[in-house]
Amino acid sequence: MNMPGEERLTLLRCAGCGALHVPPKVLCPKCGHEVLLEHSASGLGNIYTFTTIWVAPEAFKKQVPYEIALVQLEEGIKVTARINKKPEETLQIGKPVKFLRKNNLGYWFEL
Amino acid sequence: MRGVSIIGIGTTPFGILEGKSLKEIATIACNEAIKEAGIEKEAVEAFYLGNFISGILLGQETIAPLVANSLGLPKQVPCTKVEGACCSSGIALRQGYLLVAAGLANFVLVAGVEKMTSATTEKNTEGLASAFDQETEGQTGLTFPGFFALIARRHMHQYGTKIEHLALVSVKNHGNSTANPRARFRKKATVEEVMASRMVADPLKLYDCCSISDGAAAAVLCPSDIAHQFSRKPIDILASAHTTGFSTTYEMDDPTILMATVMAAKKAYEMARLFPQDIHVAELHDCFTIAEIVDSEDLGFFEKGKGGFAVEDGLTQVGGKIPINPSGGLISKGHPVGATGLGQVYEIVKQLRGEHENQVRNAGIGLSHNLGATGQVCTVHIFKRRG
Ligand SMILES: [Zn+2]
Repeated sequence: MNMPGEERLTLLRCAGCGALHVPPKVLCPKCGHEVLLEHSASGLGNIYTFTTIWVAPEAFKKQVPYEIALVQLEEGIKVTARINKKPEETLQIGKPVKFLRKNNLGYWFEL
Repeated sequence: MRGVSIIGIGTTPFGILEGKSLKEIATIACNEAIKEAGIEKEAVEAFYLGNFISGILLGQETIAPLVANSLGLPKQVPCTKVEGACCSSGIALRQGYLLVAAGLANFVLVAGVEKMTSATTEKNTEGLASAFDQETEGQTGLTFPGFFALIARRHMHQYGTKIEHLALVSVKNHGNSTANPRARFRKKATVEEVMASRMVADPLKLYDCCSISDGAAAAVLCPSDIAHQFSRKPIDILASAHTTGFSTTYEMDDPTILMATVMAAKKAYEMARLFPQDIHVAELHDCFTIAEIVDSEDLGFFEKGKGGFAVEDGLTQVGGKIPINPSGGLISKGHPVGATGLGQVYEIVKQLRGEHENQVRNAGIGLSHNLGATGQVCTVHIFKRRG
């Protein structure tokens, strides 16, 4: 399931109002500006909230249990992500996490 | 704008309706509502049917004309399916309300239906997860129990809500539905049973979650000024509000507040010229125990963060300050997703007529709150009995 993917966390910055967005976006929903520039994020953040999924949709059934968190990025916005957790590690609100990769399952972070 | 009233209601029980098809259960609920209203089928001028996942679970679409033909509605009646995840039939009611209020129709049939129990839990989880943005957080394998688990953990962190508070919501709703013949579960539950049930999405356990169900519910609407000709106890719709919230969890500033509910409640109270403390009974969208707590705050019944403590203090029980989900709610009455919104209305109408099996004493004003997906969709309706 940990397929290789993008190694860099790329966000979008609105050329009009400067707001940051998680891609994809066609235009800035805040100000309507149509130019959104790629913005390299630090990949650092902390856990805003988290859960462990025990009952999954059909396509994810073989992966349970798996961790999903809302990650508060250093840049100020949040992103929903999978957490790559070792068995001995425990998640906690506020714990620092760093970006690992983005693949077909979306964003991945680790402690 | 004209006043709009409910003159007839119909429903199937919610639960496992073995051997009965989607078309069949929707037809039964609609037929009952039309008969109760005492109108001829020929009088129906429009039909709105709420449904969420029959396309995914059953491969059955175009169900509004399908049900209309099964029912024998005249062919000139426009039939429309409306979809807004678990808020689908709240929207159906809203659409019917608009048509009658605008003076474009006198008699409108609104209904909701879902047939879920013939599919596996995983297939249902997948169908329900189709309400996530598949280009973004839908990819992660987030589920609806997972979404509300994220909210639960944050709510506990910010406000000191306890895991026992969540369990007490389940215990209350299971207790309420012991009296309700339309409920899937008729057995009491204890805090210990809730806490010991298996994990679904940490910290939410099986008893924190609504139950997959089959079911259908329907209502007939007409202008308030003629409603007394058809019903001894017409129920007036004082307010109808429908709003939009965020499509993804990560775009919410604070996911312990579902803005679509806050906005719909504000609009509904303004329209009805009422305040939260004027409501005598509420059926709100307790798809998970934490959802009932969050909704009760967002609807203004309690201050943000105090919802769990209110449950602990018994304020939401029948006989309490604001009885919430005397039907058993989605958790224990059942949650046939596309039918739930009108199922709530059925329960509120029974309460306001003074005919409910778990009657709130002197209930004169009731509220229903229906929520879809990540709080992407919300309807709030306020109802009043006459006299
Ligand atoms: Zn902008």
